[in-house]
Amino acid sequence: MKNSSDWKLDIENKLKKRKSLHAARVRETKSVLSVSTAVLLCFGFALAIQHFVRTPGFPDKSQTETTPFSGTVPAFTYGTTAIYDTTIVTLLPEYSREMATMKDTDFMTGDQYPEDTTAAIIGTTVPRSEPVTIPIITDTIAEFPEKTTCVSSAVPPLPSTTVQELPIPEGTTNLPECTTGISIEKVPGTTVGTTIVVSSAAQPPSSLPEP
Amino acid sequence: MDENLKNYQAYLDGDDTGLERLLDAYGKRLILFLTRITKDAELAEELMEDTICDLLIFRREFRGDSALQTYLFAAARNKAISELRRRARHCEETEEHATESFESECIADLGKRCLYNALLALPRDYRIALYLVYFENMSYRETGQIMKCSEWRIKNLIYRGKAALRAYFEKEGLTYEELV
Repeated sequence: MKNSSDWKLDIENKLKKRKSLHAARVRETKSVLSVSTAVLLCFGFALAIQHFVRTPGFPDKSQTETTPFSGTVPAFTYGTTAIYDTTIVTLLPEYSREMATMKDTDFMTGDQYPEDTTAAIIGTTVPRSEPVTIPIITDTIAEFPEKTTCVSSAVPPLPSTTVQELPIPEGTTNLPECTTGISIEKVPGTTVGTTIVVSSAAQPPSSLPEP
Repeated sequence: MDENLKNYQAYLDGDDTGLERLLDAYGKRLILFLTRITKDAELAEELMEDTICDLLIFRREFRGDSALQTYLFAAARNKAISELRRRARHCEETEEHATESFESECIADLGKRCLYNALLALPRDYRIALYLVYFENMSYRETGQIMKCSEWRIKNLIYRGKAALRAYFEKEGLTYEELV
């Protein structure tokens, strides 16, 4: 059996051991905390970037309707746009590094669209309860299903004359060659696959054939 | 102020000899007490060191509401019971280490030593109550504080403990009255 001084030594050793153990635990806790703080910060930055740094021209989160796009939609334009609640897609993005994917194809109907294309045409109303990212592809791969429907408009019609009712397939962004000089007159509210009225744009009457 | 409390305060204030004096006062007593609970002298020594260690680390735990002696014995009892439970969970058996020399050194009276050894044959609560009252000369109130029960229960434990001891001595062919 030990004596008092032996016990004292033992107790002092135990105290030292416990103190170093406690210090190690504190260090460990601090490192875990700093790592988790760094992870949280990274996550926060990523969210902030996603929220604030958006490609110019994309609809804003609070916007339900964007400014109508006018002009020629550039060919081979890829992009995605965020759709919140019900948004009328009236603007197509200039360019985005994100490629179009097969996501969110549930709102697409019709078999006239290319298989690998997911698209929302200008004027498409997309009801959404949650904010989702809808890929928009503005490629020229979607064409009119029947070229023959364009025959009558090979020659530019008179201004403001309804020349044909053409079905505009989803994903169509560039009108086929035979409709050169024809622009889509009324688009808002048009749903996928709807036949819309195509009227002539201002063209020189001199090119019209003699009656 | 209690002399041992002064030693404790002195150690906390930086006087290294305070701890040694504290161990002189309580070391052996705590080991004897813990040996009656654990039946293992080595384990009892280890637990005594841990009890003193806790007293020095968790200083706020001892608020001075009770005497230092009561606090230490209560802490030692709790520690021993937790250790026995832990060992039972992990199926570790306590070895009965002989402490004849240590006991004879601490308990000079042969009759008392015989009584001390006979306590091992009793249930744990009887053992603790009888030890604190007859070997540490503690009051029922102090014993109650250590065992976290009422004075009435301590009286009951002592009564039943004595009866059990009497039966034990009669079985062993000894006279209880001679020893107590």
